[in-house]
Amino acid sequence: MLDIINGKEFDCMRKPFLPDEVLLAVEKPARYTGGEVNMVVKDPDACDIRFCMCFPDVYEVGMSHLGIQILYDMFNRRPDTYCERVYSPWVDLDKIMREKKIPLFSLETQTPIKQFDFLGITLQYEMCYTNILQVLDLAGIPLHATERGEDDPIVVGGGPCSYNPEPIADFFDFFYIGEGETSYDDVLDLYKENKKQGGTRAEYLRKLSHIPGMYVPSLYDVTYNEDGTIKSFTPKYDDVPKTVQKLVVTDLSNTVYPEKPVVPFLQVIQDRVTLEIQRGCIRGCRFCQAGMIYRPIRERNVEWLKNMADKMLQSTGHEEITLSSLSSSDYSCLKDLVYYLIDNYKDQYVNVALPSLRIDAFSLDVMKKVQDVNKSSITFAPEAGTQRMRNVINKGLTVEDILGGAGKAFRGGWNKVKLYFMLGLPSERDEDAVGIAELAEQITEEYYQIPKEQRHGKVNVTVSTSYFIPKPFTPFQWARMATKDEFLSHQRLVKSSIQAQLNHKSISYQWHDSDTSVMEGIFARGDRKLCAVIEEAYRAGCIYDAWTEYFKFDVWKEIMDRHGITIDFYNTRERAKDEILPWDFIDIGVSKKFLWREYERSQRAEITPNCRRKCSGCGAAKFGCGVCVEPRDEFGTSLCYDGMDTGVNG
Amino acid sequence: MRVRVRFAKFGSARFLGHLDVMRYFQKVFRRAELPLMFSEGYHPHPILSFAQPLSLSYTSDGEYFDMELREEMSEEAIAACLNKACNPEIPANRVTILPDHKPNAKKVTGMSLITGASYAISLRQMPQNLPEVLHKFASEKSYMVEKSTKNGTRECDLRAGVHGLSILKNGVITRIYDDGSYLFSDEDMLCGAEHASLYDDTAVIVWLDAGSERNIPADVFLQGILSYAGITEEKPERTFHRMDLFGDKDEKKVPLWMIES
Repeated sequence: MLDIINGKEFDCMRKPFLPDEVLLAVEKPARYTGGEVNMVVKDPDACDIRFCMCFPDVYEVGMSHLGIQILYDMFNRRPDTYCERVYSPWVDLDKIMREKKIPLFSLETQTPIKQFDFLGITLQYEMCYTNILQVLDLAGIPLHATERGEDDPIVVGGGPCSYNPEPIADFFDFFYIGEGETSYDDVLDLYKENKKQGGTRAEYLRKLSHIPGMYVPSLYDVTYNEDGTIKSFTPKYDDVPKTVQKLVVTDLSNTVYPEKPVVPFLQVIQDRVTLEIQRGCIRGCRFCQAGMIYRPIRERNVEWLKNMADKMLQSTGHEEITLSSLSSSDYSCLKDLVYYLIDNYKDQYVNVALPSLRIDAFSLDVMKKVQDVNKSSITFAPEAGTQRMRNVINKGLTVEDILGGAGKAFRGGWNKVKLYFMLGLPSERDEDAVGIAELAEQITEEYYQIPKEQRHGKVNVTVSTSYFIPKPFTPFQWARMATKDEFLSHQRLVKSSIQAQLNHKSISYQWHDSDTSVMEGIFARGDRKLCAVIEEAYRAGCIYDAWTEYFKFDVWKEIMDRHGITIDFYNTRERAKDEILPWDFIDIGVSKKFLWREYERSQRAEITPNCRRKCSGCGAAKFGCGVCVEPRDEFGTSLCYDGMDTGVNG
Repeated sequence: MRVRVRFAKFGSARFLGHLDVMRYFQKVFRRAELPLMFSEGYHPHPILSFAQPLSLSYTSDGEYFDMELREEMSEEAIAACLNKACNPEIPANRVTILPDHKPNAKKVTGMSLITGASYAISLRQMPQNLPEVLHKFASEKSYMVEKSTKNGTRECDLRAGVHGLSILKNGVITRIYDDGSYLFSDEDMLCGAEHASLYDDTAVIVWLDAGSERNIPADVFLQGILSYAGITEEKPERTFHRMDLFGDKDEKKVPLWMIES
């Protein structure tokens, strides 16, 4: 036997901020105690800047997010900065904190949030907006940026929803528009300098607005026309820029990446190493916001990725690694990378979790190696039920692609297929809903063409539909969103059409909640008038709206009515070409002209080629990186193009 | 090769559930690059056996698991591996190589060996006459208390389940009662209470029956002894710390790491 002497520098008796009786009264107290493996430990008194990073949802959701891990790592590389984390307290603790007036605190040093210099909130989905107010309120920070004093943290937002920050503009001191790796050093350096010179909060924010990508809502005035649309959106001062330029990392293989991500004790949603292989997408699906705001596509170097995978698996001890991107099949070195991971880690019982890939010989071979064929399913995301509709949304997947892929998979031993669709797409007709059922039926028929003795039991097709929500910076940003009744009638039509199919017993159908989609639509293309609604809904007890069981649509509806906010104005109204959209002041590189052109092409059901096949002149080339600078042949096709007009299956 | 590891759990880690601790160690083994034996099948998992789960909020210096390694390693090498991969609030503190199971013999694991446990229990308000109360309790023939189990409450003899009582105050141990069934020196006690959080640096140390046959949970003991002392307060402010787990060896109860099976 042997005694181990534990000689690590660490405050061995980290004391939870919450008293024991509170921790014992809530579900999963480990959500609030921190101390995880790879948590950064620093002396807060030796740091000039204390930054608290927040994901406004429960710990298990927030800890699954790669972006925060990247920024946490990046901030903590600065010796003068200590970055900590905080998540939304779950409803049980939320209640106790209000009753006992316990302030919200960080995980690392268990310090009240109010003592921090910055509170950074990541905005991953619209339905988290009331949770932002929950976090501010529990922290004791005034909800309105204009009411905050010199001692309050500077509240900054970032992430996908900051591309239309207007519905939550009142609650933030500033928004960081674009990719976090580029300019936070400038933001923090300026803060230090301003503090040293005795500058005020207002002076800091004014200077900050001069840094590209920084949007300080309080420095802009919005006026409205009588019909509620925006009349003008102007800076209050001459030195404040009219447009805010999105920030882009030009070389993704030469940027920070968390070699030692924090490893949660609790079982979180993404309990694995996440390797981001590329950013952006060449496909240009017209409904997809990520496909536009992350343009141009930029790949990471494959050797860099292999090295990073080794380091992260070593430092975390995770038993699974997954690749992250919008369309992994388009990554030019995918085979090299995937076979490297399988060959090197199979013996160490590390599971390689595959993102959705185009179904071809390669992906089937890989899937066979890493999954149990009997249990796993193959996934397609045709998004729409007919070819016309798929052309409208520029989703290049054809029936031949799907049936061919499914057939190959069936012959390889699979018998489960998942299909993802959207309902309520622009110009959708009944035949498009019926087409969903027919496509599912065709897949089952493909299965029964295999001789009986070669089949593996019954085929099983799962159809899922979500509702289409037009998003800013997509060609559909002008489009009308379907009403709840239209959603429901098409959802019922899909259901009854599936029932009418010959093999309907092999097809199951799942659909999303329509009320949530209506609310998400309002937030997605909303303006500053919504701030008051969100605040009032929060005061009326709305939090965790992203969780169906806590979403109170009737409360929201009642408050919107009182404020004269109509679903028609925000959702079902088609915008005019010359309307000033709330997010027009942001320049994502992709031009409004290009988006309008795409909107028009969608109305003619015309396909636009992907970025590698032919450049469509969207405007992202001005960043001078990624696919925009790949060498091309005399027809304008990138030499990196694999010739596949089909993108991902999913 | 079979290995038994003893570990501690304190600080914020005391709010980790049993499943989280198991998941934590699976990742420790990977970071430590220990050649663990895995089960067969599509979802292979390391062959591990954890001893008695610890209640949430308890600290401990005496938790155990048994593992199987694919390769021979020295205790020193295993300890060094674990030490570099453990979290400071759940460190391994003892490694023992166990003899291989004899073929066809019933597999013994840490879990099934347990017959006793020792705890350090501290109260914010320790009764003034505590030593007298403990002395008097030790002189009783039996003392029946109610214990809640899965099938409702059940009466059990608390006195029969207590095998030793001591008071720890400012690092000094005063033995009050010892029925001689346990092997546990004063030094063991001090080591075993290393990561306990104590009020006024004072604790009652108790040896209790544990395991599948007779089990007296530490909170049942505390509630019983308080009601014996005439204190009726429900759940006064207190901390529980497990010092070690014990099994039978040569008619004595010894810490699990001393049992080579």
